[in-house]
Amino acid sequence: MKKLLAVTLGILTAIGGFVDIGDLVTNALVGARFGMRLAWVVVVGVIGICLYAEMSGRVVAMSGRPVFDLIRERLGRRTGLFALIASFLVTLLTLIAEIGGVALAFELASGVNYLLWMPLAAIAVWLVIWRVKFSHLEKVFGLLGLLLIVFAVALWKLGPNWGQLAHQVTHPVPTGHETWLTYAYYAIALFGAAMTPYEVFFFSSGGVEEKWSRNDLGTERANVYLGFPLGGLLSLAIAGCTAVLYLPAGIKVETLGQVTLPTAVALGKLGLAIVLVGVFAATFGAALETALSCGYTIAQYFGWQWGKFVRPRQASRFHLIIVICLALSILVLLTAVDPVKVTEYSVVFAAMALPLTYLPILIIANDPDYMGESTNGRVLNFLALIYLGLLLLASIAAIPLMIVTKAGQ
Amino acid sequence: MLRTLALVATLLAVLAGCGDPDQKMLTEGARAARDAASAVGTARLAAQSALDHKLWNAPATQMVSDAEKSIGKVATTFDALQPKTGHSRATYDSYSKALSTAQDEITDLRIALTNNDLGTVADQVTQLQTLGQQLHRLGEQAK
Repeated sequence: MKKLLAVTLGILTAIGGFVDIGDLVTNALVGARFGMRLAWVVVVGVIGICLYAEMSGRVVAMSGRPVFDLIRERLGRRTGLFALIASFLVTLLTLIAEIGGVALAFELASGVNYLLWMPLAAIAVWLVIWRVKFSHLEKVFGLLGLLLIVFAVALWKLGPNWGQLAHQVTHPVPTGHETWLTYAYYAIALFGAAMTPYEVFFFSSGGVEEKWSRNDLGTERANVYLGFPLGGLLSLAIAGCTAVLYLPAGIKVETLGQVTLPTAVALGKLGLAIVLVGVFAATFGAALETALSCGYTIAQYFGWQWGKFVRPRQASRFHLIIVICLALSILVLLTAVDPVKVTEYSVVFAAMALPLTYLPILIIANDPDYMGESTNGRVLNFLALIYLGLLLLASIAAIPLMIVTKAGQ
Repeated sequence: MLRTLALVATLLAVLAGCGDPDQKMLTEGARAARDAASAVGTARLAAQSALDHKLWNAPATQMVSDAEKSIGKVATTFDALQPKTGHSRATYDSYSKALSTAQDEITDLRIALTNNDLGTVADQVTQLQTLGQQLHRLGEQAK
């Protein structure tokens, strides 16, 4: 019974923790412009993150070491450094977007400008990382993030024409003023949002923090194979809400307010209150994860002491990196750059860095020196290679498409 | 090789600027009208939700204020265009006027919402409905 509870809690946490500012903004934006015609990308992205998250979790459970530590050892310092720079910069950009997202949620609730909330949000992130236990912060924000299920309820209450939504899903082509180029650009953005690199680093480092062993593999797989797909359904519900409300009205999503408005239209003030708490939990939780991931990647690459399983004094450089990254986030956001635009760019840049993140994981997951008998099977390797091809394609096409479409305009 | 590439790039850049100026103005105007219609639609939806007691005043005002900023950017970008012929000047003027009207209406709505003047908010919502339809029509005049 206790085991079942732990598994259930893990799955719920994974569902709530799946959605971050990138998923919120990109799914709402895509739903408003393309309806459900890009829903297939969410499905493809969720399968991809499941494959690679399970792999990285298994690496941790079998070797007892996080992925980035092994990347440097297995692939050498130079290749490891290349992967480190790409993954770290994307994670930092995502952190900036998440802090901006927290501040925007408070602006929406209070009417006070987000620039005033933003330093408070960054300091709160630092305080929570400094003071709160790893298992607590993961569970609390993951479970609160579950409130985003309100998007699914709102979609049902909006009374959509389900046949029309199904028609959009089964006819994945651009319509109206949209072109194949913008369609491809947003497909890559959605793919990047679903497979953001920090998710894997956080997942594997979290496994070390929680001292996963071979016995935890079942729980880890349940979290990944049930939690992530259900989190993907939340993403689809967000896109569904904007597809129903905004697509016929020709409204484009440019602000966080527009992301949350469908819940108010469908469910009134209570719906908005719930979604605001959910957005706060999702973005704050992701800000914690990205800030920690910034520290994890650098500290693990250089072989420094890291993690929350030791006292901050023992992992001082790890905590210093987190503080520097949070300070950088404040400085960037203080330039009054639009956090929603930062989010849009972060998911596209994430798509560019994907092969550098996932190829090393695939190599390590096939190395018997680390994995013993738990290396990847043939079917898993076949699927992982197909995904690697997709990741490479998305990575190569991202920048040209960004230039040609003027970032999706 | 480099010289050839530079020549091709220059030619492409020149050709890109050599399209039909009337059509170009119409395309830009239509795009601006669609973006403006999006802002008008958002403002109207937020205000209507506030009138229906589905939204508190603070988030409603914030959403309308965001729409105001958005349409401001659209209008400023469009106003910076340079009409090159008499026909494109006429197109420019008609779109510019529509954008300016929409911008003013959203500003009026934001002021009314901030002052909790629900009567004016209701009037503005009706006006924005009509204005949104006009902008949609203008937006459909070109790809």
